[in-house]
Amino acid sequence: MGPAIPLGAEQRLLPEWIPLTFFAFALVCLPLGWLLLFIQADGLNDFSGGFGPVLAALHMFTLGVLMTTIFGASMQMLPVATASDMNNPKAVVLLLLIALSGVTILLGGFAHYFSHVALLGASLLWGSALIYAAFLYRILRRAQNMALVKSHVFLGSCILMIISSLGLLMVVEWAGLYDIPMPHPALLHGGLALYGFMGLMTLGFSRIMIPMLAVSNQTRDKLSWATLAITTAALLLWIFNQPLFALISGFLAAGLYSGEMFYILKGRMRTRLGPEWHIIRFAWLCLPLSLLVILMGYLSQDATLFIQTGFVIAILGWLVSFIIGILQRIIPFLLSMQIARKIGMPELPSKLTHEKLLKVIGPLHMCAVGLLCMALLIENALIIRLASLCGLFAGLLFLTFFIIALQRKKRSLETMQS
Amino acid sequence: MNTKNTQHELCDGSIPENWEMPKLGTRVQLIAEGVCIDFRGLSAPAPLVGSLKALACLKDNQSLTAYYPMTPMHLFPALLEEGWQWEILQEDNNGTQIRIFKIKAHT
Ligand code: HEM
Repeated sequence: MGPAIPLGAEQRLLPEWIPLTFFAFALVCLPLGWLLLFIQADGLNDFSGGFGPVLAALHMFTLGVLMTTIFGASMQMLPVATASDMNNPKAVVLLLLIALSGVTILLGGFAHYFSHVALLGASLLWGSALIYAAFLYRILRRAQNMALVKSHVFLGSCILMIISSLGLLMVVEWAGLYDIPMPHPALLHGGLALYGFMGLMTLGFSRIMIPMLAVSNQTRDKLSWATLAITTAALLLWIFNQPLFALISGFLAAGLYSGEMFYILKGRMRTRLGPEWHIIRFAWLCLPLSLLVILMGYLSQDATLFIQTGFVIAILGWLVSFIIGILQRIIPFLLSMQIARKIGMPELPSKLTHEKLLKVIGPLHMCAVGLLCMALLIENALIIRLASLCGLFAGLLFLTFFIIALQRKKRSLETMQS
Repeated sequence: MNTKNTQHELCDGSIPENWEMPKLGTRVQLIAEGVCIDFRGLSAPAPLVGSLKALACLKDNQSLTAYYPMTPMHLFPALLEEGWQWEILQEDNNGTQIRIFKIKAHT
């Protein structure tokens, strides 16, 4: 038999180097975020909003890790999932350049208190959010039978436009050019960014990724629609300043989502699950936990402390953990496909995977999150440093995992071609 | 279809009764060599999950012939991992037709 896959098959797929560049950027930001937290341990304890290095550290995770991964994953996955034509690769490269430079400039402006630099970064990011939303609209318009995923992604991208506009306005206000006529824009922005933009994207993509990775068809569409409806209601309540009701309904939606994910996993065909599933399960538990902690904040005297801890659980415990788990599986798959498109035969993804590293990365990251939350609650800068070191180490190991996978891909290509 | 009870259940020429993939319904056909499924018009993850689940039901000498909306690049690494071999029978604007079989049975 000749090559098992015709060379040049699926030119409709985006060249793998583009999503991989988004992911590589995210994997560099991960240890950098922890490093910033290590340096800013004292500042983090006293943090109650405002510009400076702590905000830069926070956005190193939210923009650097979370948003760039979602951008890369959407560009790669949605055309495949919807069987529609991909976006023009040159236009996606433009998105890549604007988004990555926007993140870098914004973080520089935040960290060094340069409001005008931050303004440039925020404007670039607003532009990238617009291009991204236009891309998604173009892909989703043609997809006929993915109503659930389409609705999640569409709503998520609308919320991205809202939060990036709000982020831009806050920076404009900081630069002294405009006053935002609302009491807590940061809280509105933070909640919508985490549970609206990232939340809906994660919920939508989970409906494709989790059944595919676990090989399970045990999904519950009706439950998923109900979760989406309750999530939308929660987000509207948050926008209309009803935090208690928003958090209660958000908690309910989070419970339904996590429940469905465990249910999908239960119906899997693969009996043995790899190490990435520990951290993915941890992420599913952290989502409702984060909302519970924020809810406690609203019911207690020390709202700031609990809200801050809740946000940290959402960012690092839920979203970053989920992304770490999924990328552990996706990166070797993408590299294997890259080989297949070059020489007509894929490489075994397991041959590109450094299994031993995977066994350490997840537990270290989970340990870092646990320690950080404890440190925030007891206000101990030393434990924040210890947690940051664990996180930094996990992040560096994950970057190493990525580099080793690239090297193995190169070696496999050479061997298979010779 | 739950693996716990189908993992060792081979396809004896008929799709098992507890086949729980409603989306596939009438798309599954029995042919001389095994099973034929048309995944065209279905969105992810149905083609990948459906293929791997159908393959788990086949006997060693049976194969799966499947139609996909486009060349299923994401499926190939997964097939390789599970020890399946494939050949592309046809590839045009209407989709891609692929036959998937166990390496052992054909070598
Ligand atoms: C798109 C560009 C973005 C810009 C320009 C931006 C800007 C800002 C600004 C100026 C603040 C408020 C600082 C303060 O006064 O306390 C803030 C807070 C925050 N942002 Fe962003 N942000 C962006 C995207 C994101 C994304 C994508 C996420 C999450 C996925 C996110 C999560 C947060 C959180 C959690 C807070 C803290 C809210 C609080 O302290 O109550 N941001 N952001």
